Amino acid sequence: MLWRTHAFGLGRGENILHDKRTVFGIVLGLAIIIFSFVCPLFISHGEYEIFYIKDGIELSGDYSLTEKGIKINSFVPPTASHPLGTDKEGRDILIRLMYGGQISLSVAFITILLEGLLGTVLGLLAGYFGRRTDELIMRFVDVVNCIPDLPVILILSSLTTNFSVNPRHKIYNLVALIAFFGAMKVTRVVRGQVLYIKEQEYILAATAVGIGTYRKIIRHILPNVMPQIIIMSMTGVGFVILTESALSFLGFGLPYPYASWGNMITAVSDFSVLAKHANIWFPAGALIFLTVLSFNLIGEGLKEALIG
Amino acid sequence: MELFMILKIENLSAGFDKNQILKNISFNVPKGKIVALVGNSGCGKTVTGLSVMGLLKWYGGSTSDGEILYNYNGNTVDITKLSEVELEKIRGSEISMIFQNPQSSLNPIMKIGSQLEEVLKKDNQNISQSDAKDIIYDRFKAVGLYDADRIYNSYPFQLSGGMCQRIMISMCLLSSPSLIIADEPTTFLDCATEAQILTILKNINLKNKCSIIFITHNLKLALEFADNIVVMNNGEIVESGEISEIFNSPKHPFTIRLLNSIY
Repeated sequence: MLWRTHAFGLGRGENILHDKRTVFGIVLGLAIIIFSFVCPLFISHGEYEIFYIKDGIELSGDYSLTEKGIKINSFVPPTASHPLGTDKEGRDILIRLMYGGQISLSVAFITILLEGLLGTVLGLLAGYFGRRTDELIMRFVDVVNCIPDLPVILILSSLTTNFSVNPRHKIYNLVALIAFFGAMKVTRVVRGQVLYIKEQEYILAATAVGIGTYRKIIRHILPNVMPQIIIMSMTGVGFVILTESALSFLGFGLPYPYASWGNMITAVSDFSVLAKHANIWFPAGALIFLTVLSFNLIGEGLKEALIG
Repeated sequence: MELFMILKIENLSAGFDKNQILKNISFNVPKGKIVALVGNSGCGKTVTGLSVMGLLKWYGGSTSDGEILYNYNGNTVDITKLSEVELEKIRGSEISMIFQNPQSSLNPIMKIGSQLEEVLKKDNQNISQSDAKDIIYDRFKAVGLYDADRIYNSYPFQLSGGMCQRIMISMCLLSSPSLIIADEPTTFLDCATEAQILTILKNINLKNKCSIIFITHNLKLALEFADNIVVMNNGEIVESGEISEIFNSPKHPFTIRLLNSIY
């Protein structure tokens, strides 16, 4: 289907759809993507729209609390109009989950893309050219790996807050940093694989018939490293989602009122919410869990199919 | 360099770091002739071939001394002194190499067709898809592959070793080199296929006036197939000359031992 796995000549050469776990992962992943990106299109309410209540009738839009008899419709238990209820500020949980998913997923995908790109380029250069290039790149990777990434991310996050950067843009700093640190792991894997592929006879044969260096790297070596990159990326998605959630939970990610799964769980810091309103924090936690699970399952399935 | 020579190796020494493999070897390859490099395993036959291709550094080796003079359209160039960029121009279009194990010489994840096209487009970037296909099908016929459509769309692991070796030869032919180095091209094949492959190489040699350095450990094959023979032992050339000389009056004891081992 999607992937002619046998073409890699490595794995079991099976259709990845034969593995039930992988299919479950794919279905789950698609469901979450649809939930986050497609469902909001059919809902008229926005991400941080506050619901009010006046004389038992729910209102949404711009209202001033000074108006007589109007209250924020907070801590609503799950009902037909709010399937997962509302939070402390009167915002609909389900809608926020959708928008939070957009953030979590797009951050994850962009991060993985950047990480994969940077790591692949560095790994190919180091592995193929060897000698000084290799030495330079790999020592750089070693040095970066010695830097604890979490404190650096936290420091940068608070710095951007001090310099009053638009909170929406703060997330891009996160993306860049997570990608940068993650790329080092990709570089190592890609380099190792390139070293192996480079020694294969078909690369020597390609050289002997006069294929140029650039074409050799792009057309012969890179496609042979692709399985490893794809597998790493798939498992990496889960890791990035967890990191992003953890940072948002700690308050270093996307700030309230913007929605992200991580900062929705922050609600548990209020003990009464933790004890009485599981509908506020549990769904976000469950979605994080399911998303990570789904990508790990897909990654595992691809690994079995591609490299056995 | 004499005009009728395509390659002239003079006092070549090569090896890996401290390990000297080739010790001061010299031999010539006349235009349009087949020269067989015969010797036991590890005597430096392949290293000689790789040195001529400028590929020795691929394995971390280097030529330490001597010259490899190549007759490049009437000009003499020393391959040991060329840069990687210049070597890339010579590889394939002037000197090409066929390796021992045909199935591992083709990229397992690329279709045969696109691998051959890649070689074709290296020299001629504006060639159209259908023209390229025509040329490739033509070369397939030249090496005795008649099921061209299927092979064009196959992956290397879907084909037999003999087929892959023919494809490797057709790949060499695409850029019509003046010299082909065949490094034990039949070691991994059975006797019948071996004979076919050798016939194909012989035909190419006669038709295209292309010289061949035929590396083998099988003196019998060399006697059947080559014009000249170079006998190597321990990184040195012990004897060289035309087939009749070597066969009728071998001088070196190693050559005599090789000859005795045939029958």
